Amino acid sequence: MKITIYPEKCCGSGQCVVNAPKLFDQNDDGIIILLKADPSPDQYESARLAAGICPALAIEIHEDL
Amino acid sequence: MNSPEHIVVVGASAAGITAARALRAQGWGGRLTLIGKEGGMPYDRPPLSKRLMAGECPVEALNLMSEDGMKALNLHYLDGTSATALHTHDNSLQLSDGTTLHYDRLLIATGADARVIPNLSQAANCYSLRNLNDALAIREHLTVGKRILVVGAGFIGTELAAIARASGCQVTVIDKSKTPLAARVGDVVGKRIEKLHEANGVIFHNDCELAEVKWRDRIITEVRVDTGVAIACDVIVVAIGAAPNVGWCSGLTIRSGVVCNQFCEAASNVYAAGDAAEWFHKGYGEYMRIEHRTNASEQAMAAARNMLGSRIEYAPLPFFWSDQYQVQIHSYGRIGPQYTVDIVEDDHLKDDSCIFRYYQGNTLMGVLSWNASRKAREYIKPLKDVWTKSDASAALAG
Repeated sequence: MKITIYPEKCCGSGQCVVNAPKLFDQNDDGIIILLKADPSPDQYESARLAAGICPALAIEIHEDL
Repeated sequence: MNSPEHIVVVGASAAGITAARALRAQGWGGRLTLIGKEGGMPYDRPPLSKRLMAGECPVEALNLMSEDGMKALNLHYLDGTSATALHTHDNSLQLSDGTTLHYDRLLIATGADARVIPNLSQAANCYSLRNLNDALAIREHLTVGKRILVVGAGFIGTELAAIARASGCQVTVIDKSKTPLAARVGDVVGKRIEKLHEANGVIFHNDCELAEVKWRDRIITEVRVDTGVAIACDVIVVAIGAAPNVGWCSGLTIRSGVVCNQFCEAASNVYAAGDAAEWFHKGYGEYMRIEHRTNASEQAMAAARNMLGSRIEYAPLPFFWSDQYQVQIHSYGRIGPQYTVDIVEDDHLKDDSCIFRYYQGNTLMGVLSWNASRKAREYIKPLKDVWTKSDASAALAG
């Protein structure tokens, strides 16, 4: 799995940090920071949750095929 | 519960698209049908009154799923089609093209449509703001000197007012309430939002109703409110809320939306998510319907897993955000005029930043951040303390 973020879309909701604190953080303006672009398998579920829940579509998950 | 062979998702917006993705992410490989009434590719709505309206992003940035994405999910998309009736006794629904579709599981994700004022909506210069076409049509009018009348001082109305002012329009907002948005955020924050708008040149007429409308052919040129004030206008945008699209859900219990249990289940094999769903939030111990973007996808993910046999009690911490000029508002938990409010100012915060806390007695119910989203996270942790003792907080984490 690979994670891509789009900070220009981010609305600063912080939902990603709440749901996947090991993968995401926010800067002082609340904008998304990616901590880990290649999560370990035990983090896949929280990565998907963060991407699915992001109200601004600022997180994209690329699943391994 | 057997693995379903055919899942039908009605509604191709945030909730429907998220559910489709979640079903496949769970490894389910059955037949998946998505029904969307608008036609065209699915798109996201929050930017319609925000970045898209402001011209800050192209239409393509709203895309919720590409054609390739649908192929990858092996998704059968019936666009320009709507559901017209539901038959729970034989697990089928009727579609606007006359066909009948059988389902093993059904997700109702039909969202909501803008409420209209019948007399006004016939005018050629009167708009709602719910769909992409609405947004693009309104945006065309946002030019210097245009007189924009916004009916309804809710989030959509005030977000539009802010962008119209930034575009050089003359903007007037009328509303029934004494303070804009007070019914949603309470008086303190409502007044602060009002002041922000007034500093930017928006004129409010509060505590009033439409009384009279002047027409020239199919154009409304002026409205008069019941306080006697006359407002000349070039364009009217009616932003008085939305009503869920649940008229087709025959045989289900409907209140503010399709009534569901804590598992987002409305009837045997029938689930609902997003604006159309009123479900039992076990944390708060009451039925809720939430018309916000995060809830659409969060609830869709929970419902998708439950359709495949999980028993997740869906109990989220409500969240929404709003953009008003340079101010970004984020709200967590429950806020509103029924709570007492205190303000946290912090030296470490930048100018025009603060946090509002909403209390019921001594219990913290909600947190609203004003340009302080990162800081707000420090305050939201106790928000679930109010929840009745249940395993609800495990909800999606489980």
